[in-house]
Amino acid sequence: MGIPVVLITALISIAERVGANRIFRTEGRFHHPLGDPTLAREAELRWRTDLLRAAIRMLTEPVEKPTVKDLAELTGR
Amino acid sequence: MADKIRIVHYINQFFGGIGGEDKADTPPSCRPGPAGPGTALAKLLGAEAEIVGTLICGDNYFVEHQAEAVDRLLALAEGARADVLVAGPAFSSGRYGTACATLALAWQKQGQPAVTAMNVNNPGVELCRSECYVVATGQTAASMGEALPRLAALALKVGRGAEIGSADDEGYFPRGMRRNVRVPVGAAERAVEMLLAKLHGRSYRTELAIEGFGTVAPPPPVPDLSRALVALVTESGLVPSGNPDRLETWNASKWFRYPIAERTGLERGEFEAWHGGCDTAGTNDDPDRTVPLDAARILEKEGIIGRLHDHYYVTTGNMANIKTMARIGGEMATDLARQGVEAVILTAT
Repeated sequence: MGIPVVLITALISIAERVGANRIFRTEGRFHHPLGDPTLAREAELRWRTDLLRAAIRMLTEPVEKPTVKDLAELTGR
Repeated sequence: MADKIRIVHYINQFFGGIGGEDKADTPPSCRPGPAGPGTALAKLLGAEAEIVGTLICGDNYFVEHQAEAVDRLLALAEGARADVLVAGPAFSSGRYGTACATLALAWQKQGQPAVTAMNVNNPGVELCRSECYVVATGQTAASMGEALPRLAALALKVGRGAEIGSADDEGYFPRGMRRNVRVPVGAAERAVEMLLAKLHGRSYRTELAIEGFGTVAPPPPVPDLSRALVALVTESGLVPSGNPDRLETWNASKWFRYPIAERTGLERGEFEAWHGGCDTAGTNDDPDRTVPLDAARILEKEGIIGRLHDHYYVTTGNMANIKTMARIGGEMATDLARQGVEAVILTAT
């Protein structure tokens, strides 16, 4: 069975190559996948929460193989 | 001629002729001269080396009393004044292979070389291949005839202190070591030749095999995230400031979990990333950028996730050994499952 994992990363090719099954393409940078230092703190937290909210949807969806999704695909925005 | 190389040979109760599974509890013993496959091995060793004694131990006895078995076998071997330990071949037998590997490592700790032989699927391979020579064999004793000449050749070489060729040439499992060699054709030309061979469908051989990652069957989704216990896991090397447990910045062998039950976020100055492969300044400025505790708390409060697990889990994914990372992942998963965690948010740098 196992525990479903959503991998949040900017390094998609590596994530696919190692066989992660639920991969969220973040808009953050590779060295801080849920960070954007160009935003003000409050705005950054809202942005991060929106990304995380979208990413965890992948935990509720069945996948057959390594699957990559991003904010737009998961929220229809 | 120089003195003969003195070899002590380790075999299990089956190859020692004591008996099968019913005799697997047999404690360690030592016989003078070769026994079992040692007889054929002695012939292959020729005049240059001699099997001065044969150590025998039951497979169950060894794995159930490992420390004691090693001590007793080493003590029994002492009188033989051997230069080299040869263990096996163990083929696919897991307990036998484990015994061969464990004894070989203990023997080498005393300062003398050891050589063993087993099948790629034997867990003993990973136990010792980085530290001693393990000749690759088939799955069963049917491949004894191919295994023994290689084992004898390597035993003679390590006994003489002669130079050992590459893993491919000598037939042992790669030890994870790289050696500089001078070759007549430069890397660029070799690479182009390889590429042309590949494009033409001719056979070619890579000089550096990339290890496969295997596949993990996707676990089914969480039925109801709003009731699930969710954990934060990261390979970013994010640890409490000062790295109290000394998590490695690269080639990690450890993982840790740190409490976050009382926290609504990860404060700058209290946590920092010890990752040798990327710029950690942005994470250190706000650790939530890499382990999003502040955002996860909001989703917890909104009821989108049931509850956040009260620890986050961390290792460092930088220039790491795949097998070690698989072990770490397995250990984390076992711990998470034990705590009742149903879903994981894994942030990777």
